[in-house]
Amino acid sequence: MKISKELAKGSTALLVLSVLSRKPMYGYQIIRTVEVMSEDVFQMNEGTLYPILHSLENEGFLTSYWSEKTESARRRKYYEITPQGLKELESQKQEWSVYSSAVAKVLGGAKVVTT
Amino acid sequence: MSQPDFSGIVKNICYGIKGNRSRAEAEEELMGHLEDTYERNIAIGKSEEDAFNASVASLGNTKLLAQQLEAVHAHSPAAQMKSAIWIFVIGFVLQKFHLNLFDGMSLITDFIGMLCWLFSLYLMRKANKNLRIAYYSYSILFLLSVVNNCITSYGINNDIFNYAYLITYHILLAIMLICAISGFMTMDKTYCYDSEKRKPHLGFALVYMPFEVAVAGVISVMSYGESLNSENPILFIIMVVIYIFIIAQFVRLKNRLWDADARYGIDSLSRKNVPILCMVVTLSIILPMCCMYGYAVKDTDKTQLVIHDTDNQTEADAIREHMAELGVDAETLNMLPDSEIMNYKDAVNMTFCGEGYADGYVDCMIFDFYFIDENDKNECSMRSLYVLNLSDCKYRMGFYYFNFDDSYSHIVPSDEKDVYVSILHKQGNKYYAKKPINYSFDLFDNLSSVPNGFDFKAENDQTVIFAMNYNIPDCRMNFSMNQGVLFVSQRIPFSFVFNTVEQAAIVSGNYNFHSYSNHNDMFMKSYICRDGTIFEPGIVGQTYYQADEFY
Repeated sequence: MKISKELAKGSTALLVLSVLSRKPMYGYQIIRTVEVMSEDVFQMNEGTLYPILHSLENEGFLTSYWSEKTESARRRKYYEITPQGLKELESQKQEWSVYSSAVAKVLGGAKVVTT
Repeated sequence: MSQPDFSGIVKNICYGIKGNRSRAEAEEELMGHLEDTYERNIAIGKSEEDAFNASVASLGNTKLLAQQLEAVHAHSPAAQMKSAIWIFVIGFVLQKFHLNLFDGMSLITDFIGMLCWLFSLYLMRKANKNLRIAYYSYSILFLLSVVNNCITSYGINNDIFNYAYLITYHILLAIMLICAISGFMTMDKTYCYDSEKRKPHLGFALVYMPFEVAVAGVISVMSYGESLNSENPILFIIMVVIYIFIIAQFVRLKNRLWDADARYGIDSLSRKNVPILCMVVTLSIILPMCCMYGYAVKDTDKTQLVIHDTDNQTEADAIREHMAELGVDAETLNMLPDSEIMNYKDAVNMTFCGEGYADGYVDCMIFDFYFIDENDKNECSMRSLYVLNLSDCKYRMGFYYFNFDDSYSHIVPSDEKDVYVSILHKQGNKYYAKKPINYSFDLFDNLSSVPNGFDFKAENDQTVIFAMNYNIPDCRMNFSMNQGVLFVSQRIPFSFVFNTVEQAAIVSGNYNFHSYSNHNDMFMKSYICRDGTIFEPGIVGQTYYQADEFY
C-alpha cells in the first residue's frame, strides 16, 4: 500500500534526517533508501526533496560536500547530518511519536469522556 | 548509453536561485538526479523517450519546485553573509572618507556608516560566537555614540564624561574589530558559497587578524581629529592608499570565500568582481576628490556669513559683553561673527589686550611671550584675534617659538603646535570667510630661519580679521608677522585671550613688542588683565618704538 503524498508531506524532513543519521547520502540515494526501507510504502515527491535538503542545510541540521568526479561516476552532493541535526531528529521523533499515538488512539476508537 | 540533455529543464528550475555558485550547484545536483532516474528507467526496460519523460515527471511540478528553491536560497546564510559583507564595506567607506561637501555632511555619512556596520553585524551574528560578540559590542558602542551626540548637541561638555566615553568607545571598537575579523575568518562553510572548503580559515585569520587590527589602529590614530582635505596632501595620499589597501583586503577576502571553481565552468563570479573592484577603487578615488572639491568650492565661492544677525544672539552677545569686560576692543568684537565669538566661550580668565598704531611699511612685528605652565600640565591654550585693515599688500604670518634657555631647560614644548586661523574678508557690506587653516609651526633657531608662514594677499581696502587658536607649549613664543605689511595710519586692535590660565602662569614679566620698521612711528600700548583686573603693572602702559631702536 502506498501512502498519499499529502500524508507523507509533513514527515519528509523527519525521514530525511533519520536516513542521513545512518550515513551521508546524496539526494537520489535518499529517495531510494526511503523507498527500500519502507518497502515501497513511502514514495517521496522527488522534486520537493531538494528544497527540503537545502532548507535543512540552511538551518544547520545538515552539511554537504561534493564527491570527486571519476571516470565511471559523476560528482554527487552528499548530505551529512550535523550534531544540531541529530538533536532536531530526536525532537522530531518525539513529536512524531506523540502525534502517531494520538492518531492511533483516535482511529482505534478510544473512549471519549464527555462532561 | 548516451545521456539525454536535461540542462534546459534544470536551468529553468534553478533560474531564480541567487548566487551563481548556489545555482550551479543546484543545477548539477538536479542534473545528477535526473540522470540517475533516467538510467534506472532504462534499466527497467523503458524506451529512451519514456525514460526521459518519466525522469522529468519524477520531479513533479517544476514551477513549484523552482519557486521553492528560489525561496530557500533567498534566505540562505551564504546569501545573507554576502550582503552583510558588502554592507560592511559600504559602512567602512562612509565612515572613513570624511565626506564634507556641505557642513554637517560628514556627521550624516558617519552615522549612516555606523548604521551599515550595525546592520551588517546583525546579519552576521548567527555565524559564530565571535560575530555575536562583535554585534553586541558594536550595538553598545552605537548607542553610546548616539547618547554622546545627543548630550554634546545640548552643549553639555564634561571632561570626565568625554574621557570615559572615548575610552569606552575605543575599547568597544577594539573588541568589535577583533571579534568581527576573527569571527569572519573562522566562519563555518555554511556561510560561504563554496561548499568544498571544509576547513575554517583559521590560519588566514591568525596571520591577518593582527595585521588588520594594526591597520585599523593606524587609521584611527591618523584620522583622529583630521579630515581629508586639500591642506594635508601627504596625509591625504597616505590615507587614500591605506583605504584602498583595506578595501582590496575585503575584496580579496570575498574572493576567498566565494572562490570561483573552474569545474563549474562559471567564471562569472570572477568576472563580476572586476566591475565591483573597479567600482570600489573608483569610489576610493572619487570620494576623497569630492572632499577636496568641497573644500575648494568653499574657498573659491566665499561662503557668505551673516555677521549681524540680531536674533538668537543671546549667548554670543553674552560672550561679547564678557570679553569687552576683559578689555577686548568692542569694535573688534562686533565685527566678529557669532561663529567666531562662540570660540571664546571659555575665555574667562585672562586677556591680554592692546592697540597698536602703525604708519608705513613694516618689515616685521614680533610679539614675544614667555609661557610657563606652573602645574607642568602643558595644557595652556590661547585664542587671539585682531583686525587689520589692509591695503594692497602682501602679508606673511609666521609662527615660531624658542625653547627656554638652560635655566628653564626642564620645561619642554608640548606636542600641540597647531594654529587655527580663520580669516574674514569684508567686501562692501558683506563678510566672507575662508576655510580655517590648521597651520603647524615648528621649532626654529631664529626669525630668519622661519621657512614658511601663512601667505595672504590683501586687496584694496580689505578688512581682515584673524582669529587664531593656539595650543601653547611651555616655551618662549614669538609670533612674527613679517615680510611686509603696509600700514597707512593704521590702528591695530588686538587681543590675546588665555583660556586655561589656571594651569598657566602667564608671561613671566617679560612682554615685549618689537617692530622692525624702516621708518615712521609705531606704537603699541598694552595691558594684561586677569578676571577683569589689571595686573603686572610694570608692563602696563604705552610703549613707543622707533624703528631705529631695533636696528
